[in-house]
Amino acid sequence: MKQRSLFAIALVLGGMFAGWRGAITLRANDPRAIWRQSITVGADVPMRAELTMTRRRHGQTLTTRAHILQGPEGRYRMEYLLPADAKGRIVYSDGHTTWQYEPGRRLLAKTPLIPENEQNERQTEDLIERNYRLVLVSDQETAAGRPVYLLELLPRQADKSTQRRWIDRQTYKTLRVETHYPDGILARMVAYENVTLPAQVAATEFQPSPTGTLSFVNTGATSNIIPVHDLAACASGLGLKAEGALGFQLAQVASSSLETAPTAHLLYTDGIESVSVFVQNGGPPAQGDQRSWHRVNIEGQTAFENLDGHLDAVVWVRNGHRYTAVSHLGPRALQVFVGDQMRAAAP
Amino acid sequence: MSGCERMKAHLNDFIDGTLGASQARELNTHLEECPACRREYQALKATQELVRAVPVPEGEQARGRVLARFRQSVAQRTQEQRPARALSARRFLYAPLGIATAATALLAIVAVSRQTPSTPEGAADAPVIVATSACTEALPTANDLDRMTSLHAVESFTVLSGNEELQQDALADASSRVKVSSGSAH
Repeated sequence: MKQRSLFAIALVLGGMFAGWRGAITLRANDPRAIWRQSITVGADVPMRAELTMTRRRHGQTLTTRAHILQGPEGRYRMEYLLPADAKGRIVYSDGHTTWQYEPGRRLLAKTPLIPENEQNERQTEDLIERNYRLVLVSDQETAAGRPVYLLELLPRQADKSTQRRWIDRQTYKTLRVETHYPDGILARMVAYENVTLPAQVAATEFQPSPTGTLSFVNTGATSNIIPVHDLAACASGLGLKAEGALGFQLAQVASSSLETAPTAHLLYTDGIESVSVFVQNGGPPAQGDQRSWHRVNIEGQTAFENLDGHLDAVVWVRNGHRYTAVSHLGPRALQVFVGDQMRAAAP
Repeated sequence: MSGCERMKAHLNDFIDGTLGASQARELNTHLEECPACRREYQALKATQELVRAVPVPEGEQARGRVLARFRQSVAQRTQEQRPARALSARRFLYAPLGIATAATALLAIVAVSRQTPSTPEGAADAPVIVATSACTEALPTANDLDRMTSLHAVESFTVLSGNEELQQDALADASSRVKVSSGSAH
């Protein structure tokens, strides 16, 4: 009896110890914690590297390659090697403004960035949690020759892409990101190679260095974010839904002046991806007479799709408004998002 | 406003040589002691020199406007309480915002979007969907699509969590085609 009691006590103590060990392991390898570290601490670690980005277009893979220097607080400098028509392009940002040197056109383009507002990390995490399942696939992988955590973001909705992220175990810098369409095809990839991490980087290295005669231009990519406390009413007034398909939620509304017309810009996010819908006063029914656009049928309605650019775009006209949705989401998911919004705009 | 922020607010005037003597001395002393402000000063000085070196087609008057706008934007930034880290941003704008002007703007957007496309009284500050004429093109022009790509990229930095590189590339691609025209240099 005494032996059985001792055995029981030992079993309980052993279980508690195992549970405690398990809790420690879980905390140390908590995918949410790793993720959080990667977008906070990791983002600010100075790094020198070769950057390769690929994106799938019309069955082909397009590649961008650049030398990159990253610093804290959004500073970076990229010098393009590929594609051939971008070779020599230098993009520099101090986290407030992006300057871009185009050697072919002897052009210096400036784009002001939007100052950071108070962040609500809890809401961001809630949104990610709602739309994705974060899984730590492995802590034994390597990327760019360094030990990394491999995280997977599995979407909770069909039609959305899966993301895999390789995060440096020492610095929490993200060294590789792959986005796969639901059918498994690699849609996009960002990979850093020949990495120096953490790098010693002087502030002067970020400065642009073009010389000679240049044309200077503001890209005009400037928005006036409108403080809206009832996003649902705002979206509804424009014939849209604030709660979109695939877990996308309206996050902000801005006014922007485009070449042809004043425009409302509604930005949706699911915590990981984003979709913009630009609303303008509509013209006549879409004719599809411009190259790069082709007619598609979404929800029984005519729309036009453009898959030639860096982002996919879909245009539809409804109730006197012209809507243009742009995103990295991929054609199928973007059509699902647009179809849902079309239902909102139904008369 | 902290000491550093107060000093940064005067950096432009200091670089331009328009700061009062006593303030310039104070700022100079601060720069000798504060590496962060010194870095900001060096970056600002280098960028301003770069901008000054760029010939602006409309001549000296336009160059003055460029620099004035640049100084103004930098001054606004340095006076902001919130740090700007757009490109490494992980923030999320649910915008729990509720100021009276915002409500006015919202009402204007909603109201105007439901009305005929004429600009009502008081809606001048709600510049969306208040066009007095409809789009003449059924599809966006190539320039407008580039602009939309840029706007999406820039604003996505406010809500994305770690997908910035591809947005940066999209922004760079669109910016490479931006038109140089009179009045665009500002």
